[in-house]
Amino acid sequence: MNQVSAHISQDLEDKLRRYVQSYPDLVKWASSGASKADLINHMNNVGLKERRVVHDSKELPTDWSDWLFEKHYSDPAMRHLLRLGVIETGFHHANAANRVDWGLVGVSQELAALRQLPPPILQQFVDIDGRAGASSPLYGLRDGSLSYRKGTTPVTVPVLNEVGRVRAALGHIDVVIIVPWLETGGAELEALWIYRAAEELGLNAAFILTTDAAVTPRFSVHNPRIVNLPEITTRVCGVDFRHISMNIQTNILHHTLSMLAPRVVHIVHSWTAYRLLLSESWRNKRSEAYDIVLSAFCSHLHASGKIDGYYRYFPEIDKNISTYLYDNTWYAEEMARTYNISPGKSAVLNFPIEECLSSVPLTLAETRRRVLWASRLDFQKNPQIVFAIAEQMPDVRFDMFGRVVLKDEDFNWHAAPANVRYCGEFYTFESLNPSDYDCFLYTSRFDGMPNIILESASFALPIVAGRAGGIGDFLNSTTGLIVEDPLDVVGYVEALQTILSDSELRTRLADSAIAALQHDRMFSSFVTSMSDLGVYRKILDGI
Amino acid sequence: MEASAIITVHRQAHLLFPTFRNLFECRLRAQEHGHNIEIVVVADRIDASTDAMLDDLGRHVDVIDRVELGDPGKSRNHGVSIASNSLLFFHDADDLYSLNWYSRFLQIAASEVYRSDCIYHGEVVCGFGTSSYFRRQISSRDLYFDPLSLSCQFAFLTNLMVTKDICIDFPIPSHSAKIGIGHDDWSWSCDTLAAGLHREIVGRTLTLYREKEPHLGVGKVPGVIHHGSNLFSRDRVLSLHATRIEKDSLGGAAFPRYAALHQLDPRESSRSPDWVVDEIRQLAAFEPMVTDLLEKDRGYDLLPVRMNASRALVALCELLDEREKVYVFFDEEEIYGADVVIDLTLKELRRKYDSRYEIVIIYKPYSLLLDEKYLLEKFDAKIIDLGRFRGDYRLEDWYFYRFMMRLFMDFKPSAVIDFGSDFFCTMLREFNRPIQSRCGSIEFFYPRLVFDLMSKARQNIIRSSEIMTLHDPSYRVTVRTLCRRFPIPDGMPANVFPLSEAQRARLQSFMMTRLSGPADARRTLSLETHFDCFGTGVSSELEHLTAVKNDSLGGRSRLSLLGTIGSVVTPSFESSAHDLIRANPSVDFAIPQALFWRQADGAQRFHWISWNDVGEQLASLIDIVVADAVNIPIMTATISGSRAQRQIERLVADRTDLGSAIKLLLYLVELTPGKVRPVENTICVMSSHPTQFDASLIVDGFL
Repeated sequence: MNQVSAHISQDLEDKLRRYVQSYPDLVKWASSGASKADLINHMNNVGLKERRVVHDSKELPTDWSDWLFEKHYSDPAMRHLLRLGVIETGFHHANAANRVDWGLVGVSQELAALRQLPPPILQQFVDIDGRAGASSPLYGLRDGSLSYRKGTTPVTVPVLNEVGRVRAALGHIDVVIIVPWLETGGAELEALWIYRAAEELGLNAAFILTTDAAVTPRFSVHNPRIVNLPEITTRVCGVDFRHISMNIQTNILHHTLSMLAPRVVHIVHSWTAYRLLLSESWRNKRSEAYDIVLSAFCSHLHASGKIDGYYRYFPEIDKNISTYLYDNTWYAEEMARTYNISPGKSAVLNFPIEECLSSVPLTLAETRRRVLWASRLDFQKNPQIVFAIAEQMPDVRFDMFGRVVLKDEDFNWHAAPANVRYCGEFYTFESLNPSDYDCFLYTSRFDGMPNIILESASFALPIVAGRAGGIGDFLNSTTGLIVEDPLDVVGYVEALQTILSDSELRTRLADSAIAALQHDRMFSSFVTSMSDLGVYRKILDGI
Repeated sequence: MEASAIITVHRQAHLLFPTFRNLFECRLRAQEHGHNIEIVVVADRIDASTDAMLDDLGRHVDVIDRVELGDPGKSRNHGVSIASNSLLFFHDADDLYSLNWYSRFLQIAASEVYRSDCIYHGEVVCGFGTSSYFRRQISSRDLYFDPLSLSCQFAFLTNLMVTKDICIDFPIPSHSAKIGIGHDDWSWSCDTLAAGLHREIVGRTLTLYREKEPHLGVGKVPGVIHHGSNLFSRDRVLSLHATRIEKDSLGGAAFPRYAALHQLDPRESSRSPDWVVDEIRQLAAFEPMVTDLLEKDRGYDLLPVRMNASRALVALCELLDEREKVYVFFDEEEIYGADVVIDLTLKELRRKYDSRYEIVIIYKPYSLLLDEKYLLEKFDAKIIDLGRFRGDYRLEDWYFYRFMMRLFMDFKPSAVIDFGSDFFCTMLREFNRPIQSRCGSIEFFYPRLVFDLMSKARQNIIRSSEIMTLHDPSYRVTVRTLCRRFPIPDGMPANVFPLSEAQRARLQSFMMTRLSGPADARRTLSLETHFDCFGTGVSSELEHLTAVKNDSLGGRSRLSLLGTIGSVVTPSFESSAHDLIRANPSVDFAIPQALFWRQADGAQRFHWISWNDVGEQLASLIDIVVADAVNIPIMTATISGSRAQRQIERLVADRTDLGSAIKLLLYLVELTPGKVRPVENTICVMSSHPTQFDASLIVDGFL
């Protein structure tokens, strides 16, 4: 029974809607607050006497602004705006709009925006417009909407006020490291080593985050030393730092640096920081006495052949840079060759690895015929080549770990041969159970000095890698097997077959790699190298 | 063969390296073909960084001459004078060249097709850096090339091969950013083409042209126009036109008769061939940035030859004669009774400038069609109707003003009278230096009956004055204000102002005094005190206005207003602000409730300031100023002589490193809540063009 009643009610409502929409005076009455009971009463009594009919939906006008146009035309302010073309008459809307709704009286956004204004203000628009003629601000409304800003959340002032509070808690700062975020990438790891080395040297260091508020657990212990601009902006203003204009971002960063007043500023792949260095304000007004250290690892090669990266800004910002800090000699030489970056300004540091070497697993004499591949599933790392290699080595199992980050490679797991297995993402090398494998395969097309190579070595896992970028800094004929052309499938196959068939070779390579790590990649030697950099020497010598 | 490569260096610093390594490789390849290239470097006013680079490159270079000429044109001429060989290559010091550059050019030079009276260029130019594109050059003999299009369109890069004799006969013109006349390469192209020296193309050669930020390139200095040239002289333009008509009538294909604006040549749509891409890949070894082109669409952009501009130039030459010019600029819309004003103006101008001068009226019409015959017969004046002229010749925005600069460069400008026109204001904004350096006299007339704050003419005159004093701070801008009403001269319809004969006579006499009276009778207003009846500019962004109001207690109190230049506030603002401050002792400053402005990109911005959280809402304005790098309208009112007024004046006077508008905003943001209150139902509108704002205004520890 109730269902039938509801059904009737729905029908009645539809009929009533069509009845009201059929007549402008009823639309006006409905939009001014007439109740449904009033309207039903009208339909059943007065409407009948007046021989009003209930039109079919198709015959109804979708918008009654034409009628409203007449109404507004009697208002002098509106009349002026209508004549000016700022507000459309609704004639077009009636033809174009597809909304049919209760009491729909107008869809002109300009009209809606202007109607929000108090009448005296609207009148003043018109007054000013009358005097200004074609230069009037209203004139342009014909081509654009009224951007109505009321109580917009301010960003610059509140964020800098908050930074001021954070700065007070930080105390004196010697070294600032600017990074986009603190997640799991190699760049963040290098930033962390710089931070630790600075602390080891007795200097006060802090991070500034400039793109994303993300801080993974590995870094969260340093939270009190992080000026997290994205987090502050979201917390204080409720807006995403990445969505505010680059001018505001660079101004906030510039001002934050002014407040922290460090001696050394490390920039590790922060786009905001680069934009600041490129900005006119920095060029014209920089008066701070920072030494700027720029971290550089390698250029990025796109599938199209485009060679991308921050290197393109080096010639322009060079005069502001005290030191270019590389993690591999290849890129340092490449930049020296291309732009003649002064050797005196360049430094290559052997970045250390996290606690290694203490629990070296024994390399088994018996091969398990299992190869480990672990990298990002992006164009750079060339995961696709593993399929081609695996096809030629059907008796060897290839376990692949990693995730897609840049989405720049059309990667299809269905094309994988049977002996290739995708094992999911990974976050630490230890979690890959390196002792289950005979060797680590690295197939990057281009690179700096990849940390994962060092980690693999630290777990005594022999390495086969293509000669890309700065890999040669660590890998040589004694520490691993190098394939000269990183795209050479046959070369990889031969190297893998060699290493899988020779347990003595595996042991020898693993031992040599460990020895190389102990010699070159210890934290203590890294700290010493850092302290030898001119920018740090000045602080340590009290200059 | 033997040739010399002249590379002019300024402050390219690290960018020298890719180019020099590239050229050394080109030289090596040429040597394999038996050619010998001498590399001559002219280092003009280099900085320390560039000097260090040259030290490192020196051992591979034959000659390095460090000079202090400060002019790329003179540098190149100097290079010509010290080069050992008669065949020369010119290079920009930061571009790259296909590896076959010298060998291909010298192969042509050794062949039968070579002509020593031609200048040779590469076939393809690809831009890289701040923008990327593929472009194919065409020969100046090509049917689709029109030399007159060089009036507004740059055509030939200075990466070329030429004989020393040509360079001696036609030295490269100088480039002076100071007076805004330069573009040595462009001007040289005009001069050599005018002398009948053609430009030819060497096939399968590529230049990678580095597109830079404006501050990094000498040639990117804004507001510089190329020299006047014999190429655009009236006689030459008309005789060229006559030749074309004659050839046309004989049935020859001397010139495409119906040239479409955008699709001049069917070749335009062709794709750049594979050899171009192969070269780019090779040149990436010297400059990886060139690989940006690998992601670009490979469609050729044929050098856009603007035949419409050529036609427009012919029209100008047909209209104007050889006499010195007096240009009169106005927007009819801005002048009440424009016909009367024009008559009076021309009458006075003819008294001052005799028949040796040609008066040219350049105007934007509104409802009045000027009678060309009448003005020509009565005042010997010519007319250029801007709307019609632009429309007839389809002159596009981006080169229209450059084209119109021919009026100042190739004709002889003597004087300018401007009635606050949009056109002249824009011309000044783009080319103030050449206009000021070429023009003997520039005067402004405020054409309204009464001062009107919202008048566009007023804004234009202020803007023009600012621009002119920017060029030369000691420049005194003369602004003449017209009398309160315009007289109506005899013979003109009296329907503009129904004045009595007596009124007419009196006003006409007054008008005459204003226009032609002795200097001390004129109202010459310096920029510092411009329109002192309304306000005094306290900075480039703010002006100080004073209003007097009868106090409710019977006395008179002065209200001090500080506002962004170009802002207009509701007329009742002063009165309401005064009452608000008087009625609320805790309130020091009153501001308008709503702000409205148009940004440089044309977008409308409307900012509402409610009574709650005034500080926060003003702080959000700071974001807008910083983010959009624009000025915004803001106005404050406080009682003259009060402590608050003294504080704010001190603030504006101090810290000259910060923009004063931002200082005003920051000051208001930091005030104790309640000290700033919006005045209900008042609005502040910025009606002038927003000035370019420094986006770094709040850094350096203001807070």
